[in-house]
Amino acid sequence: MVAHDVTEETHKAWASGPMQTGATWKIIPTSDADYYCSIHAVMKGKIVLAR
Amino acid sequence: MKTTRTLAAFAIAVSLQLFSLNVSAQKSPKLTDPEIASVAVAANQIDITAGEQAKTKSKDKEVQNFANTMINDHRSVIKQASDLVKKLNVTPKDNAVSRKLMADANRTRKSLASKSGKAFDKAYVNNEVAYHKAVISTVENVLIPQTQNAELKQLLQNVMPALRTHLEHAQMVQKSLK
Repeated sequence: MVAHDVTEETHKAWASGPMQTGATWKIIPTSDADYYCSIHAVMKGKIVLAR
Repeated sequence: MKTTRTLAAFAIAVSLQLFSLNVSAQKSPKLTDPEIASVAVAANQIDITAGEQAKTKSKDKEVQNFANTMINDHRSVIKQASDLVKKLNVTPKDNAVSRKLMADANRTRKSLASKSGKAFDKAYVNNEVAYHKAVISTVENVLIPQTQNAELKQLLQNVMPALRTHLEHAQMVQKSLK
């Protein structure tokens, strides 16, 4: 319906850029991270690596 | 009991004044699909215009960011609604609800135009919070239940999560301005 993105929140270390409905984007995380949608700043998530 | 009733009457009076869209919800006007399409386009266009006004008047980064999101998201919804009504061969039809929306929005725009700086930011964001609450209620309680065409109904249902996110986003910016 609307564009979103996936952006690392603390240092803006990585970001997908805007993605339209149905788009996909991949990253191989090397550390835990908080991420959010920089377009809709209330949409947040967390990556926790299993050790 | 009397106090409760008085409070309830007061609450209704306040909501009638603040959220004219809810007035429509309470009366539940009967709308046809072409009229619903017109209300949907008007409601989106109003928020695009408000966002453009905020972009020219605000210097606050969070307000600017929010305004950009409103412009882009509501443009995207209008585009999808226009594509759908074209496909369905429906011509959006002006009606009492869409006219009331536009009239209220014109009044709001004039009132915001007279403000600047932080007073503008607060007034714009407060209005965005109230507007999204009113729109969510109208789409949910008036437009979706009355829509006949399944694809148009689905489109309105698909818009709901974005509207809720916009409301939360507006409330977040509202807090940051205090």
